[in-house]
Amino acid sequence: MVDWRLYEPLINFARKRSMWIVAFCTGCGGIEMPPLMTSRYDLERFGMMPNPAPRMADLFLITGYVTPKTLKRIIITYEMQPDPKYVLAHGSCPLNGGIYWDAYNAIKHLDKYIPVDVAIAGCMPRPEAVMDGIKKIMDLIETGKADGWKRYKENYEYYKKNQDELFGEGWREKTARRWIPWLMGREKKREEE
Amino acid sequence: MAEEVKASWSKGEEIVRMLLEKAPYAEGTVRRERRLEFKVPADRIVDFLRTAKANGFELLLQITAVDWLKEGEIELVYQLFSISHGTHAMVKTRLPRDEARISTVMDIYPVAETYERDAHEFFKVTFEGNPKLEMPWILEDEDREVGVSHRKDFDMLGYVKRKYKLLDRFDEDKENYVI
Amino acid sequence: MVTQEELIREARENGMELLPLEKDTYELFFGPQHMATENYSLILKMDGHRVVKAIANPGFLHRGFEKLAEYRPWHTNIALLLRICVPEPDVPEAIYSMAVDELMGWEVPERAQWIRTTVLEMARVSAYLFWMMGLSFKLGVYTAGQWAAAYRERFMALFEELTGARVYHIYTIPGGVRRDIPGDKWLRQLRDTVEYIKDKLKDFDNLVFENYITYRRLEGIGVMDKKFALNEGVTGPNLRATGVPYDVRRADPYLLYPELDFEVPVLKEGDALARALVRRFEFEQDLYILEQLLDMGPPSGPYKVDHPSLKALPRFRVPAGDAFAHVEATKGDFGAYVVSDGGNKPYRVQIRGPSIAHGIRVIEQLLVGARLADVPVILMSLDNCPPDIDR
Repeated sequence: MVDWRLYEPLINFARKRSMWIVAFCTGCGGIEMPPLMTSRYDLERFGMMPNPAPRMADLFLITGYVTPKTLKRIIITYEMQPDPKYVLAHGSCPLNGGIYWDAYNAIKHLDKYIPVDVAIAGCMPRPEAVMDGIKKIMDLIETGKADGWKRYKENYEYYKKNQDELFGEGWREKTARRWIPWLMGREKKREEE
Repeated sequence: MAEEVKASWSKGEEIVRMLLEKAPYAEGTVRRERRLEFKVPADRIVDFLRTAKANGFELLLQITAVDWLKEGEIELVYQLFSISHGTHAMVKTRLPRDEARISTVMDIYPVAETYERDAHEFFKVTFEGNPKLEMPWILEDEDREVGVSHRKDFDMLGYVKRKYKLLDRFDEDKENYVI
Repeated sequence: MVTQEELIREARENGMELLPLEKDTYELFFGPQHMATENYSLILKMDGHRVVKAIANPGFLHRGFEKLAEYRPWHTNIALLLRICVPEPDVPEAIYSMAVDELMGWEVPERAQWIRTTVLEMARVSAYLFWMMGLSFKLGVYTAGQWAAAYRERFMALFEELTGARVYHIYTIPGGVRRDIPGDKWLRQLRDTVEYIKDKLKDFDNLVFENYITYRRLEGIGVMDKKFALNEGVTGPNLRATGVPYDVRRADPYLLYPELDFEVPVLKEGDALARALVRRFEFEQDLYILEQLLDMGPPSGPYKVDHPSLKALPRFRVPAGDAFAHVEATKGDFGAYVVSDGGNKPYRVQIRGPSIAHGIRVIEQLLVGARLADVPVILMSLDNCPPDIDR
């Protein structure tokens, strides 16, 4: 029986150097992602790359403000990611609403709904700031302090309560079925009723 | 100077005269060069837009709804653009606020379907004959049920505080608040 | 070999419920978590790899700008409304400022007009570079995409020097611009950049626009004709690719455009290739316009209106009335309708993004019968910008 805890520093070192990002432009910060990924700022030298499928990704960049409609998809995408997974909130809006502090359709405190490991302030944060945030999350991974995914499991009741308060009970099923009557045409809808 | 300005307006005046001959129920004025304004009663809007489209106003740029709370009316502004004349025209009509109903202009400008969905969602204007009004648009179902709208009597700050459980740190009555 | 009935039974036993639409068709959520859609979703009814029916599902980026603008003073709205169009944030600033100028009855000084025109053209060039990057990535020509992103960075640096910010500039204000141009060095840098990019355009042509793969990939998909495009409110390069020479800069001239010499490229085919080529020709014209502006040089004089109300901005009031202003953005006709009731806040602001026409009804109809692999390419060729739709 091997005690894997002995190898944890090594594993954490490997995790830190091979973070794949979920390609999900949740807000306006998505405009700074292409410059980050391409030749001027070149994030690939940190071993990062955008990845279309959340099933293979480690890092979730919340790029900018989050609307409730997007938050539903963010939660589903976040739960699809395998452990360990890290969340980096980008810009002022996920922190406290930012410029949308009084908007009826923007989330004010993202960390009520999913755990956030590192938050970058600013609107819009410069690519250097994002790189600094990524450096920070790398340090946290190496020291084992980036434990958002563990917190999400342990405090799932708290997060689920907040999510259900915002969206109403059973929002997952409702969202999944929302479009079916419209795809089938109206005749089918009348038959169901 | 004034004569020069008048000269540049003459084309607009010609268009207004031409349209008003065919649609005597409307009122038309020239706002400035390349900007016209028409006022049409709500029940004749379909006829007027059909006339306008036949006379060179090819594009419908937007349908704007403005909520005039004091008058108790909702104003619909159809923003038309004519490529052949190079002129923008606002076609304004007023509806009662409590029962905002107007017939759709989808069969004249098909793109109006999208704009009408937008106006229906945010200003609760019903466009008779538009099949997609009930289809989900920007807002989620739970927001629609609560009655989120862009009408002037929608209490946005109160709604935000209730929805996101914010502390009561914003003074709603403050006129010039500092962000 | 497991049959379909067994699969369905097994799924039901395990508490999963399959949602078959009809025989042979299935429901496919395309986006918002997708590299091609930028937080915008399409619900597709698919038969194999062909689209049978498409429904656009916007609203992921809705923040209610039009309502928020009624709660903020006139000048604060600049910092809010520019977030509507992320790739070229100068356009919402410019249209809002132009509408407020009209309400105030201000004649903007010549120097401010020159700066505004230059900023709008720079925004157009950088937005086209951004679009080229997206198109190249979607076509699989990664080299050209890397180049376009790198050249866009040059414009970002110039913007940063001019306005102090990379993406959100908050530069054009009612009555002029927020501050003067930094000096002759900046003008020289701008000229160098324009010449540099003009030089590099040949490489783009070699790699993307004269590439056999591009032609095979784009030709004949997403075809619109003239009548359809006009009925559906299509504007901008998408309309010009169907043969209608409608450009706001020519049809409803604003700022310095009546004095500038440029062509409006028009193609007749109306497919994705024509849309891409119209954008490429316009990119060249924009560089030419920037050169002309630099040859003209900034006129001397003040860079904003000298008006007492501009010195006490929170008490800035606009006379009652309404105004409409629109400019030609890279995506199409971008307009703002501003209503004032004489207060220190707007009574109503409506922004008309071009994508509200392209992204809903047009895409729903163009996608019918298209292959799944063509969906991102059609989206990219329409240059669909979701924040415009959602506002």
